[in-house]
Amino acid sequence: MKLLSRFLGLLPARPVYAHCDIPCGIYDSHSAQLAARTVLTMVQKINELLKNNASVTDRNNFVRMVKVKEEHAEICKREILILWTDYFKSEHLEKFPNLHELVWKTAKLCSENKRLVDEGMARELIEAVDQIVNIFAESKK
Amino acid sequence: MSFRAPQKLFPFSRFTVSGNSMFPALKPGQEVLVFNWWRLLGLRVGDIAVIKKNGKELVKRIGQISSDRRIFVIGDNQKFSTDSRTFGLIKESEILGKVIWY
Repeated sequence: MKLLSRFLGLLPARPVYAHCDIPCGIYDSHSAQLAARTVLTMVQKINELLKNNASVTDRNNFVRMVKVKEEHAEICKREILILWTDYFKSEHLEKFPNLHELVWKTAKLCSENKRLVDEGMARELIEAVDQIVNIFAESKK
Repeated sequence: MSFRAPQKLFPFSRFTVSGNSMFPALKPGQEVLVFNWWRLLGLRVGDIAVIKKNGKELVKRIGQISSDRRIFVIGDNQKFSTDSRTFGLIKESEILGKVIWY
């Protein structure tokens, strides 16, 4: 036995991981929610802009608002998909059977909100994200 | 039929565990002895195996083996484990060895 353990001691040891990808608990649904609300605000602000006789400043603001809307719809989609691929597990799907459909619909709403300036669509996105946030909170209990 | 060379010439490897996903069976810093020629012994549900997934060597327990020989691996400490619940079933070719002593 002693000989065996001495022999095994000669073997080089490499690390083997018994890990989470990242420390647990750092998943958060808040950034998706914030991004979805930013999309709605940008849609409202774009709609409030003067349509006629727009000044250079107005036109500049218009471009900036569209840019922010695009970016935040993309952030929202990414944050939701991170929760979907990295946080949610099959046991969550069993508990919340509509999760798959909901995530799918939310990701599509993010794309639609990039494409359109539509307050109804932006509100729909917020609602869908809020539902995911609720499921996320529920799954943490 | 293609000739399948043994994955490793030497039958044993030594690993040092890092992380908590196999706690309490395996604790961080603990050493495990792995049999590389695991096909000789076979693999059963409940065994601990070292696998290679996405370029990373992981140690997990065999949870289930499906009829098409794909394998569900899971950490003992499920709250702190990334395993088949996240990355899906693994293939036999992704198994590096069987933990035979720890």
